[in-house]
Amino acid sequence: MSSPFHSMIFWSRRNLFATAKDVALTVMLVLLSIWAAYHFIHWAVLVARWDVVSDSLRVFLVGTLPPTEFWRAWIALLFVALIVGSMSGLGFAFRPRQMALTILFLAGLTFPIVGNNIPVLAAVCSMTVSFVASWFLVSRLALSIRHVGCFVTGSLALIFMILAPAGMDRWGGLLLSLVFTLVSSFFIIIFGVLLAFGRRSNNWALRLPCIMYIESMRSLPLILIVYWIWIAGPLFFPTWNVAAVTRGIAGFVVYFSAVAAESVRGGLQGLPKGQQEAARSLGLGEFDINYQILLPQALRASVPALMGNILDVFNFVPVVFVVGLADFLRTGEMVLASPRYGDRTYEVYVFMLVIYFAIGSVLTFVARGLEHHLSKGSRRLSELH
Amino acid sequence: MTNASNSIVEMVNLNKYFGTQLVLSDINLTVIRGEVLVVIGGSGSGKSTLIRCINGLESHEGGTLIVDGYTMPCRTLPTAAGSKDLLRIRKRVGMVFQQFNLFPHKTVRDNLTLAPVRVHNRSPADAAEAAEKLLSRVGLEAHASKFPAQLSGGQQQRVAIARALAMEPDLMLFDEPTSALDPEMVSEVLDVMRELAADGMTMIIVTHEMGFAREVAGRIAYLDKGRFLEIGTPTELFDSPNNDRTKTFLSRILKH
Repeated sequence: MSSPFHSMIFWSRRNLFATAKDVALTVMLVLLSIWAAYHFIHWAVLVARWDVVSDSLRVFLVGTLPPTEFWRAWIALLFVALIVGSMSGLGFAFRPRQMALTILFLAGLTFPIVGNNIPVLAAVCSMTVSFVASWFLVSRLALSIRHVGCFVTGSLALIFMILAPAGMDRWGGLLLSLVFTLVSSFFIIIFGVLLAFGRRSNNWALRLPCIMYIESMRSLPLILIVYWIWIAGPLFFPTWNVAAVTRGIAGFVVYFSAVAAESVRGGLQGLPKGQQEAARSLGLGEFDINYQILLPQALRASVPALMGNILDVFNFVPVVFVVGLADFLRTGEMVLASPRYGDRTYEVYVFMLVIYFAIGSVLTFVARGLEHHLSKGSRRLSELH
Repeated sequence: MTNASNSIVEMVNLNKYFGTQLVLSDINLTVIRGEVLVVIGGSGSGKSTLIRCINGLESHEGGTLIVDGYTMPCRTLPTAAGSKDLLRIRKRVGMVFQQFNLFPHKTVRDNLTLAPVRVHNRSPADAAEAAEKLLSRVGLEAHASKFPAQLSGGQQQRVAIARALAMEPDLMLFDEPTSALDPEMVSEVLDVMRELAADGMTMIIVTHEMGFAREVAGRIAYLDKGRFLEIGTPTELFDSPNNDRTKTFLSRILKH
C-alpha cells in the first residue's frame, strides 16, 4: 500500500494536519494562496492588456538599436545561449527527456508573445539548438572548466566585437543588461581573485594597496562610483572618446572587484593550513602554491558567494541610468512614458518581474552546476559510501 | 659540495620561541646520513616544532641549524640564507604530516607528479612513470586515478609518503604519521616506513608507536619541555633510562 497517492496522504497528515494548530495554519495559508492566485489570474487573463508587451518587445529587448543592426543582437544572444549551455553542461549531465519538457514549457511561454514572426522564431529556435547542443557536447565530452573558460572568454570577446560596430551607446534593453553583466562579471572575477591574493601577500607594498582599495570601495555607494568614473573618464582622457557603456562597465568592475575579492578571501581563509604547508614542504614556489593548490580550492569554496556577487551585478545594472544608458528596467519606464501605454504600469512591471526572475533563476542554476563540477574530489566520497 | 659531509642535520644551541614562550631550548643534535632517529615526548614538548624547523616551516630564533649543507635562515640572523636556499632544502627534505594534507582537488597521480614537474622540471610522462612505480611500492598502484577523498586514511597516508618520495629526498620527516589513523590502518603505514628504513633512507620520525620505534630507530631522543633529556639507542632508552622523567613518560606510555 505504498502508492504515490497513499504516501502523499501520509505525508500531508504528518506535516500539514498533525495538530489543531497545524490544521488552522494550513487552512489559512491555502485560503490565502487561493485568494491571491484567483485575483492575479483574474487580472492577468481578463483585465490586463498584454499588447503593450508584444508591441514594445523590441524596445524591451534591444532598446533603441536600429532595426538594420538587429542581426548583431541575435548573434550576440546566440553566444549567450552557448555560454549558458556550456556552463550548465559542466555541472549537469545531459538528460534528453527533461530537456525536451523544459523546451516545450518555454515554447508555450514564448509563442504567445512572439506570434508568427518567422525571422524571430527562426532566431529563437537557433538559440535553443545552440543551447542544447553546447550542453550536450560539454557534458558528453566531459570537458573541464579550463576548456569552457577559454570558450566563454572567446565568446565574450566575439559578442563585444559583433555588437560594438552598431554603436555602443545604442545598446539597450535586456541586451544591454545581459552583455553588461557578462562582460563586467568576467573582469570582476579576475580582478577579485587578484585582489584577494594581493591582500594575503607577504609583501606589504602589495598587501597595503589591496586592503586600502577593497576597504574604500566597500564603504562607497555603487551609484557614486559609476557616476564618478563616468565624469572622470573624459577628465583624464579628453581626446579618447570612451562609450558610456564601457565607462559604466568600468564603474561596476571597480566596485564589484572589491566585493568579489572578499568572497574569494572567504574561500581562501576556509582552507586548512596544512595545504599550504604540504605545498611548501614539496619545494613548490609561491606562484605554484597559489595557482595550483590554493586558488582551485578557494574558488570551489567561494563559488556560491561569487555567484551571489554576479546576481547582484545583474540586479544592480539599472543603476546605469545615471550615465544615460537604457537598461531593461529603464526601457520599461520609457514605454510607460509614451501616452499610448501610460496606464499599463502593472502589465509592464509584471513582465519585468517575470523576466528578472527567470534570468536570476538561470544564473542560480548555472551556479549550482559550477559548484557541482568544482566539488569533484570531495563529492566522490559521498558516492563511495 | 658539503654533501660529502656525513651529517645531514646539525643543530647547535637551537632556540625557538612562540612569542615569549620558549618552545625549543638549546637543542644540540646531529643526524647522520642513513640514520633513523625517533623523537618521542609528551604533548607540547616541541617535537613537531623541532622537525618543522628542519624544512623551514618554522624558523628558529637562535643557534645554528645546518640541513644538507645549507644554513637555515634564522630570525635574528636573516642573512644566513634567502628564500632560494629554503626552496633548495625543501626539494631535498620530504615531509609527511599527521593530517596527510593531500591536495583534495587533484588525483593521486597528480598529487605525486605536481612537484617533480614544477620543481624538478621533469617531463609529465617521466613523472607519471615514476609515480606509478612509487605507488606500487606503497601498494596503491590501482588507485592512481582516484581522488584522495575516495581512499581510506591509511591509503591516504601512504599516498602522502609516496608524494614526498617522488621528490627523491635525502631526508624524510614524519610528523606523527599514524596519529590521525584508525587503529587497524596504523600497521599498513608503519610497514611502508619500515621498508623505507630498510632501504637506507634517512628519517626523523615523531611518533607514539613505541614498538615501532624500538624496532626501527637507530637512536631515540626524548624531548621534554623543549629540551632533550636523553638520546640513545632503543635498548639504552627503553631498558635503562637515566632520567626520572623519561622513566615516568615511558611507564605511562607503555602501560596500555
